[in-house]
Amino acid sequence: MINQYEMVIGLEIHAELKTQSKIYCSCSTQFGSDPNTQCCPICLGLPGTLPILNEKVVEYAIRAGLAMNCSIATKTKQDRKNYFYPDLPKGYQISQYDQPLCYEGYVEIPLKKGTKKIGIQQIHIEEDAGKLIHTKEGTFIDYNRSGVPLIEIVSKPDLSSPQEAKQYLERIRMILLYIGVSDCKMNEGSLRCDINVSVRKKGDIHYGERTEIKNMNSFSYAVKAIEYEAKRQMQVLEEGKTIIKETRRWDEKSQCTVPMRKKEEAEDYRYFPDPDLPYIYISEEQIERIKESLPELPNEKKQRLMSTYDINGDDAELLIANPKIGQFFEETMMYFSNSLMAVNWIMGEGFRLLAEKDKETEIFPFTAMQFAEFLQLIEDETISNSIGKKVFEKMWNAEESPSHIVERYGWKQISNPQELESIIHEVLSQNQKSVEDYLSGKKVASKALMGQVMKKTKGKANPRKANEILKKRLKEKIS
Amino acid sequence: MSLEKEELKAIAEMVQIEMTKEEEEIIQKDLKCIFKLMDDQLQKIDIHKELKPMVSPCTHPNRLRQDKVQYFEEKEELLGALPMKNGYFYVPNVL
Amino acid sequence: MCQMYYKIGEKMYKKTMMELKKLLDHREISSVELIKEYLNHIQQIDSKINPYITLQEEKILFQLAQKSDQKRREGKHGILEGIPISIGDDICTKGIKTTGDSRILQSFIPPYNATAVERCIQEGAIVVGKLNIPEIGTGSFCSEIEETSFVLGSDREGELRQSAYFCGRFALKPTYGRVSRYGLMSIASSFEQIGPMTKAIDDMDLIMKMIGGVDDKDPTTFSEPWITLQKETSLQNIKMGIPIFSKDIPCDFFIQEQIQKIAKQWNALGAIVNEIDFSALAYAPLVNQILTSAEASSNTARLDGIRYGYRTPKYKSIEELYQKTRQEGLELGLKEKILFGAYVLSSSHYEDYYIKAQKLRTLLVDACKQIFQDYDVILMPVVPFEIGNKKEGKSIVTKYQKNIYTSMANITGLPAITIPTGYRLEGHPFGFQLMSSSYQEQLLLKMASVYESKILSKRK
Repeated sequence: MINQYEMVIGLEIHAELKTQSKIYCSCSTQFGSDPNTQCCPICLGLPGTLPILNEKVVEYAIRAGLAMNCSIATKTKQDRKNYFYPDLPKGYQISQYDQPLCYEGYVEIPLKKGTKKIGIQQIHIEEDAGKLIHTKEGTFIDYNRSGVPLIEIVSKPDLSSPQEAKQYLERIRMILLYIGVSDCKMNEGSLRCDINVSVRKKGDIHYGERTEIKNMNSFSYAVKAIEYEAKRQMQVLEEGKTIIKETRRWDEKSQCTVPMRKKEEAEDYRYFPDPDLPYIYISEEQIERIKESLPELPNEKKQRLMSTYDINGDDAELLIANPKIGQFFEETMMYFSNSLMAVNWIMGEGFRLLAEKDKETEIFPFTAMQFAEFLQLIEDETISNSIGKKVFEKMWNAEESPSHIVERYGWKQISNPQELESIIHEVLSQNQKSVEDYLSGKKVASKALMGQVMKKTKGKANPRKANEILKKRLKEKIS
Repeated sequence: MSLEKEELKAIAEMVQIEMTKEEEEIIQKDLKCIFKLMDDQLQKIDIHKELKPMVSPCTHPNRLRQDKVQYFEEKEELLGALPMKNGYFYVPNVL
Repeated sequence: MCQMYYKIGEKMYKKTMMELKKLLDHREISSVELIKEYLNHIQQIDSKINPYITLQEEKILFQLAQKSDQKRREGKHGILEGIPISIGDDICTKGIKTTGDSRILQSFIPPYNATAVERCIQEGAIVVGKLNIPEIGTGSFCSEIEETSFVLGSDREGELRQSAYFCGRFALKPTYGRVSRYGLMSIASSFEQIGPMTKAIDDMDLIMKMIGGVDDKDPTTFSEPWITLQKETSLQNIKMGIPIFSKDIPCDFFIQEQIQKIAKQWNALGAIVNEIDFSALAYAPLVNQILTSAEASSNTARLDGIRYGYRTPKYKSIEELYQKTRQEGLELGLKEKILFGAYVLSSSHYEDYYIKAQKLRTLLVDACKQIFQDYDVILMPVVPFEIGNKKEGKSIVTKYQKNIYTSMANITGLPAITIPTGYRLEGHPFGFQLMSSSYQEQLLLKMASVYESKILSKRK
């Protein structure tokens, strides 16, 4: 059944902008304060108050728009979205309806093979509502969050699977972090998304009826919710019924989407332009200035890393996902040229130890130069790969350079051919049986002999060179 | 435009106003009367499609403010009007 | 020490603001003595016709008056030092109950001053109390507002100008954006302005200089400077237009007669007076009704009983809290306005009414622009008919037709002034309206000043 259908998914992402003050008043936007301590007559909706737009909000929204390849409106307005809910002090939300600040953009997401452009219909600015806490005694309201600036990023219905949706979410989050307009902490509510899901038979050009899943605050829940909802809709259609256009939410306990009790679907918001806020005019110069101030964006960085350092897409993805690590990698490349080796050590041992030792920081406790020095030691075969693991771990605690660590523990690889020759000669003479086994055809005996070499040298023999010499001596014995 | 009781009730719900029976009668009558006056006039004029709708007589652009934090000093006067619990405003459970 | 120099019998509360200022500046009366006289007079008013919704506590008034006198002694007094003023009850005054003429805000005490009020207080003015201006505009409390030197009130469809008309006062609705709306309880955001109602034109000039000008708290305010009144005794070929009255631009015959008489007066004063085709006026009630109601339906949504104001005593759910609070707290007239507004904004009617009204608004602005290319001012009645009784005066249909001449200024944002004629008609003082193009208040004041000195002074 599933194969006959395709999913059509659109996302509306709300990101809190990390300005100091709120969008229409000078109250602080700081998270976590005591309830109703960051409020004033304006954000509480007292009579006679007027909204005064924060210039940083416009700047940050344009940044986001440019980073997502949008056109920026040169003339834009704010509209009122009218409805009653206790978290909305004025009885309307100031938002943007038909003349958004940014429009017609796109974001490129990586697929298993290649990339896909996901269209962005618009990005607009609006104010956040207060926070409600529902208890048996009643609903408690904290207006600290009322008036915090938001951008709403509305995608076109270009997403076709839950995995694509996740990639899109992650890409948007990454871009917002890179350009520094939001701290995107889903657990603090500074990044939220609503999902529109519909299904249709493959090949059908018409869109099916869609449902909205609101207030997702976790990427993994979003994936599960989409999967469930799409399946549910397919089942409904297979049974010959119609999809009801409604708002649903993800219930983690029952692992399914359930209809929300609020009658939001019937709401008529009576949008009209806010007469308290004159038109906002954006100049070309302003747009240029902001464009020039943008840092390198994730996709640009990915392309550059791939071409400059000859690494593959997956590795590049990991580097851009962790900007500090990405920076570390590039710094390392100033002193060391084997990018693949650097990437492997960062992704392998590096990430493992980071997770183990210090979940808070995203950065290694040694410099890129020290890391480069470490890598050089392995490349020069001064130390073996397995010793390298030990050295790497020591680097986490030690203040010393990798070379010092190697010296102190005497971990230098024995690579001198003469030294190796004499050790191998000893091993061969002390392990006659293995030698005879080898000569009688049991090639695997050479491994046992190598084992002995390693044991004798306490793991310090250069495995490659030792093996070479061992094989040579054994060959001599045959002849 | 006829304004039947059903429609009036729907509008009243939109703006969260409960009317008494008396009020409903008066309001319905009054609004019907106004709409008749207006519809008669609107029928006689031809409003051009291209004409720009005007939101406000204000012709200058919006003035934006700097992103600076300022605390509202008179906190007690701001919050004291209706009873609160533990610093929160409260209403019956909404869900 | 101050000695009372004024003649016995010449009441303080009858004086203009400038007269009071002179007495205070010359130390012929102290602020304390002035306040005492005002309070005595107010207390004597029959409570049934008392226009004050709220009076500042006597104790506080005397404290403020004492401070004023102290500042004067130290030479640190402001331009309006010690002047008693009254404020319309929909304009926020810090620490003084402001009800917006509505039950739902019956207990609301704003923690801030409206900017216009703040600017007066900064210069030493003393707020005596809060008035119900629209109620005055229905013909009540006319002479009783004498105890105030001047009034600051709101004008969204003509309320302030109509109140002045009934009370024989001057009132100005400034160009939209001249005076900050911060602190004005919003009903129709793109229509309303705060303006002064005064006994004399000199008063108005000074007050406008004090209260007008850019306000950071209101982005719709503009920076065109206020041009101080320069008294001229001649009008030097001012071109004045009078609308041709008709079925669509109605006016009771006796009012028309008066307008003709007034036009002749202006002619004699030097103005060139002509009849003009002002057919756009016919659409003013329509545009006014639709757009002010639409904005009102949204602006009043914050009155929900959750954070301030009245809350219904019995409720079990949030819906009951909202609906009962607003049912009990909002007056019938406001309810009608809100319902009408929500109707025209609803998705199925938005195009037919709201958008059409906005387009008509553009047409009306253009029509006025056209007229002002050839004329300097338009002379109009304030109201087209006499309102029989108070109840009728509050009906939505009456208001619809009554505001035809005043609402044009609010729709277009143009400045308009009520000028008293100095005589009574139908039991109340009579007056007329002048309207000019944007930012031209100084022309309106100049003309009012000429009328005041040439015509009004002769009647006193």
